[in-house]
Amino acid sequence: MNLFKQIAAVTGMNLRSLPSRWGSSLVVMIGIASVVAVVVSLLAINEGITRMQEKDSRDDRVIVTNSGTQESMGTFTPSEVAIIAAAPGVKNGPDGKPLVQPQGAVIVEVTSRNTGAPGNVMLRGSGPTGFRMSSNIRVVEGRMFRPGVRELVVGRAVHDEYLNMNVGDTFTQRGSSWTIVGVYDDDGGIMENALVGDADTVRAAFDRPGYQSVSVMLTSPAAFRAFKDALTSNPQLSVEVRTMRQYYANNLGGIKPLLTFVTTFIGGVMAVGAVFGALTSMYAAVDGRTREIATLRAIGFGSVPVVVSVMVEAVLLALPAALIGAAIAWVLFNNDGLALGGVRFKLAVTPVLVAIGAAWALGIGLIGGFAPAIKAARVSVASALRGN
Amino acid sequence: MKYLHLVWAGLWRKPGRTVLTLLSVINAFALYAVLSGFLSMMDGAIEETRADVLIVQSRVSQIEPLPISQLQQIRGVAGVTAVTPMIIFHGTFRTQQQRVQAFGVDPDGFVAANPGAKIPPELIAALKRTRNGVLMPRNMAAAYGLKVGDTLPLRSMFWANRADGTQTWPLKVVGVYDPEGADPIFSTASVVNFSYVDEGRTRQNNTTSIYLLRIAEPDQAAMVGQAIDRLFANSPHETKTLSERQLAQDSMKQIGDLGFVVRGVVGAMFFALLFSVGSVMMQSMRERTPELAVLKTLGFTDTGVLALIMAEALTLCLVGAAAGLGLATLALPLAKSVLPIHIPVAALMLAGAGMAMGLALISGLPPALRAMRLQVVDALAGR
Repeated sequence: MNLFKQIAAVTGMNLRSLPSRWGSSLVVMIGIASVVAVVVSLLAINEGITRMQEKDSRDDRVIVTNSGTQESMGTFTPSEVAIIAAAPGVKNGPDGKPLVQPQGAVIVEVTSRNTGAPGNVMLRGSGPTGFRMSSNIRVVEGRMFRPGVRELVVGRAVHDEYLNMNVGDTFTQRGSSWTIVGVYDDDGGIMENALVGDADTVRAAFDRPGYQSVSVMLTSPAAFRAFKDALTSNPQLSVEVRTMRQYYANNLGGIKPLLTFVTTFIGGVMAVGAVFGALTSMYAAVDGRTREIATLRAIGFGSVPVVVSVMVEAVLLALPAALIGAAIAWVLFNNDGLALGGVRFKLAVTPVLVAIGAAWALGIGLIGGFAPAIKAARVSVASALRGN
Repeated sequence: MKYLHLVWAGLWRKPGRTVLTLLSVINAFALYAVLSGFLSMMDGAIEETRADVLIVQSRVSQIEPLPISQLQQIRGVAGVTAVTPMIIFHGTFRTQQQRVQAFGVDPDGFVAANPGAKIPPELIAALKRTRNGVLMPRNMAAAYGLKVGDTLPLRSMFWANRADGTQTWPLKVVGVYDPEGADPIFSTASVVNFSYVDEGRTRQNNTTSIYLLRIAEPDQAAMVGQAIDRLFANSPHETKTLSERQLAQDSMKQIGDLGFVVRGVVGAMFFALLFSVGSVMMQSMRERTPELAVLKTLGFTDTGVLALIMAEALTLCLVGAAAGLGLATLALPLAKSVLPIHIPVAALMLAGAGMAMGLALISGLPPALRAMRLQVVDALAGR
């Protein structure tokens, strides 16, 4: 009999005996499933942030801020906005005017619906040009604000996360009262984490000396370099020029490495525990099969098929367990809203994450099956058949 | 006690299996200890903040300036013993990465409010003498290679300098202090003169970022805070007054519900552990069926056998838990150099012992009950 036939025969025999050992097999699967469920859930947080960020991370949209300060401290005068609008690479709208939106950015205080904790969100001043550039944004409830009136539309994330953010509510901040007239949706993008009103009204109400930033649409991502160089070399301006991708990466930069570390650490420790569990069960399985293995060896089977049969069993327990774990994470957390570090997003369990979970499971199964497989191969035929 | 060797012999019947099970129990409890240590570190950071130091900031946000004229009004509020304005004067040093946290303070008012900055009086006096002086914590001075007498050109995040219109402020190091035991917000921050920043900046003169105040009774914090906020309600400069402790608690809530994550992870881990310990106990009991029957024949009662199996499970779980918690407690001082993590040993041991007993009870009971119901005749006959 050649090696492959031997492997197939021994593995098949082993797998047929699995149902009689369902108890310890289940233990392996529960151990692995719990690791995968935790790892996939934690990864889903990271994935949720990435998705939210990616939605609005465009390379042809640029934000110009004052250099050396936070965006909300910016002071752009109308003449500076005009200089920016005249820079090379700026795209024109259908009306022939450059797609340039001076923006207000005021950090305001809000109260969490769930915890009652105060939080901060950005109140943005914008205008029709700004909304034309953000093609994903649409008002899903109520209507758009009108210029010159203290009216706001709120992002869906803000509407869901904070108190008194419904159409018709009054939002009072720093002595000025605003009426919330609409809720907008950005397809789950990060821009849903804001309140938006008319740029000039926001500027007047909060007594700002100028606009806080300028949002620009370029003709193409390739135009960025020339546009940036033109502005940074202009002695009349002292500005920082970033694509929206760079801007969001900057704002959310710290959170993701931390999450990755936490996921790897917790997942790693849990995986070690699962390996111990798998080892225990697989050793027990090998012990239970000692006589069977010795008999096979006595009638001419090699040790390789025995090793393979144990490893195959470990893998076949690990993979369905991974799917169960990922399914648990999906049922519990997929599309669940989570507020972390001041932004709200939805957790996302994706096929890639399921694959990563399966890789963890496979690793645990292979490590947990290896030592018992070697033990199986070393079964001493004579003593095993004698029954000791 | 005289049955201890029986319990021990039962456990070590298959040493390999027992060691592996013990390792998985140790592993689970070690992770539990680290995660609880992390949570209590977060709580500890809150506890270190003061409840009798209040911070008045703009209702809109911390960086919104408040007019300095509010100082007198705040001073008049009942319960306030001292108040001082503070400008948030953060910036960078040589590169964008070399961050400098600094506060512009009025030296006299700062000493009176005594917010726990641990700056010696002679250094405060030195700051008073040098208009562009800066006092910095020792670790920062060491990190940036600065000593007393050096110039620190600070590039301000917020303000341009009236002298030359740039955002660079030529500060002179007049003192280096030891922040050991200082209040958290001052342990990493430098201190400069309020008047130097306020009079030197091109805009927002005669304003402050925050007021820092000391109150007589910590439990009046909420009352005093509300009284101050009422004073400025509906003015263009509404305030929000919170104790340092409240601020720390709020920012903790903003990070997200860490407790939920920790409970979820620990829950999943122990759920799996329950099955793995349970199955090992069941397996071991099955293998020993004839032995258990012999014990019963020798006169062991049914409850005696039940107690024996339960004692085995309990020993396994308690030894594992103690080793796991002990290991984490010993290893954590090493991590302390990176994170100010600390484990509340007593509380953790108590909770750990409870969890270990729960684990032993649930995983040991099914095999123990089986052992108890064992009929001697059937067991010896191998049925």
